[in-house]
Amino acid sequence: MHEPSPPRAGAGAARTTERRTASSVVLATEVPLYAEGLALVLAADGRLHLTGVTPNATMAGDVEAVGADALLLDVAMPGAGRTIREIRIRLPRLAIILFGVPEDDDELLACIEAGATAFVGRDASAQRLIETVLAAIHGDALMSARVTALLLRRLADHARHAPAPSPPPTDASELTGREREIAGLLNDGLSNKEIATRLHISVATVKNHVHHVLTKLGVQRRGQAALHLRRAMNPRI
Amino acid sequence: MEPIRVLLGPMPAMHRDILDETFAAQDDIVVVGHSTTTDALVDDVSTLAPHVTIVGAESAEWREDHLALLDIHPPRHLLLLANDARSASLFGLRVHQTELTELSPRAILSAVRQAPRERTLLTSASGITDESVGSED
Repeated sequence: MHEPSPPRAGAGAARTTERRTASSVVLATEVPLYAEGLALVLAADGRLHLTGVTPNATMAGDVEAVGADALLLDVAMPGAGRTIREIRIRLPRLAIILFGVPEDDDELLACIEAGATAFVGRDASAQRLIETVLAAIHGDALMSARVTALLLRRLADHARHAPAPSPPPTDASELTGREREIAGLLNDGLSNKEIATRLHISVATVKNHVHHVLTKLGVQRRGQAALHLRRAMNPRI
Repeated sequence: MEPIRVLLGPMPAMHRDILDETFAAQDDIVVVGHSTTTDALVDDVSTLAPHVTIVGAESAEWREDHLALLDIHPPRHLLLLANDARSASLFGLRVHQTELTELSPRAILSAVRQAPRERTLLTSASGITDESVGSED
């Protein structure tokens, strides 16, 4: 990582005082137009202080050393997703803003799932890029309508593939007398065969009752049913 | 000395802002305009007469329709900036002199017939490289 070129005289000189209090950012890109061009843009604006530029995504981890507030990462850099995951472990609060042109939507979403804070496409203005970085530093995320739509679609996909929610637990008082009796034996740790012997009924009938008990209590295993009953008898458990 | 006039054509906003900032500090270069559409670009090249027009494109390779921008003001140049910001090419029309070995009606007819073929040959060479563009004299 190297220090960015000093800002040109003129616009930058008038903003020296602003820069002292500006948030700091590290820029990671291998594209010279972005490396040098964004350095000029940031220097002219004055609200962000560029503390370093690196052409290697893996070196973006140096952001820790310079104590920057944000990492501005070219989404097209090889290994961008891995870098984000690694940095997230070390610096969970760092604002990581992706910019540029992702290979495709899946790559962009993978980077966001790895921990990127925001994304700015090449069609956004430099002003928008700066405002997105500042917002991310303050914990907000400015997203374009397209990226928002992508994220909502991904969220819906996750929801569709998530296991169906269990029905709400039922109060033990809804059990029939026979079911409550069997639930009590479950609580005692008896097997289906032992319960059948104790109650002089078939194992198949016990299984049927146990199924109803589990369903009504909103649990999936016998142990959970027993715990549920113990809690019903003693709420402090 | 007249500053070099640059026209920024359609391109990603971030690239446009970077170029604006790049040229802003140069005394010998002035950005004379921004064209946001291809239609506006053709008109702006005609009216603003830029020395260099910079246009965003999916690739920096030559396409036949770019010729329209150079035909308006033949001495001008076109700089194609790939939208992924990873490549760029400068294109320009060059005056090519072919001295006739004899001044006869037959030689003149031959030269006239050769001229459009040379143009065709030039424009069909769509893979113009840095070498053929060369450096400015």
